[in-house]
Amino acid sequence: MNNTLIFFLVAHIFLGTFGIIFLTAYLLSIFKKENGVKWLKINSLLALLSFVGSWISGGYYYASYYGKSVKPIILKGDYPWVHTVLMETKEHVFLFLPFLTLVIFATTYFAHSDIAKDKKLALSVAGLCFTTVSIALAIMLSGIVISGAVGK
Amino acid sequence: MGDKKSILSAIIISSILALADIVFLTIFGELNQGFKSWLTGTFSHHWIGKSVISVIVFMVSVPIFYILRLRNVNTTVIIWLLVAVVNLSFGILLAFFLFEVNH
Repeated sequence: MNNTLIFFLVAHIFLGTFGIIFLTAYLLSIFKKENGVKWLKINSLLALLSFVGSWISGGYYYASYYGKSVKPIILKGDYPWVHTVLMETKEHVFLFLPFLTLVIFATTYFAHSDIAKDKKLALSVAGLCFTTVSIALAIMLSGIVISGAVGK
Repeated sequence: MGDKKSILSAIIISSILALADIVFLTIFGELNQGFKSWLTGTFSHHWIGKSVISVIVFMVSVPIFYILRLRNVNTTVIIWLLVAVVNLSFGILLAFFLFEVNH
């Protein structure tokens, strides 16, 4: 694996982790009464940028290296289901994240005054944020298992 | 807020469509190798094809739903609908690939 691929793989992991951190910060601050809107906007924008960056960097690594060099090793190893179930699900579910964070960002940007007043709307955005974080964590755990399966 | 609400509703509903499109393209691609080969041939990789098509679906549907002026759509309801679609889509893809392994 050359330095460019290592850079994109590391960027994919770091940006995905940052996205989870920013969304968790968003989730923790959505019901705060004071000084919340500014940080909701910042965290949702950073989460969106992180996941889009992770999408592009991970996509480059996946499309140019994983299929040719990593996938065959996993399929010949003791745990081929790690690719056929975990990786296949991970690579497609990952495509959801930019859209979900875009909705969180757009709702925060266009309806921040309503989020502050309307508890039902705030709860729905929190529900979407929690779902997005849960899926991102599941993707991250799958990535750890996939990395582990390469050496087995 | 009326105009902003129309844009927001268009973005949320278009995201639901994009997610449904990803699930459809993924399952259809696995069941129809000709389609998967077309994605690979056209976009250099089937995953890039699915990414590009889902973005196109989103970009095309946002202005369409915006023109429809969906001011009366309850934002809370469509966000919960998106949450339901996300969870369902995740479950469908996981179940599909589990099923594929065993058959």
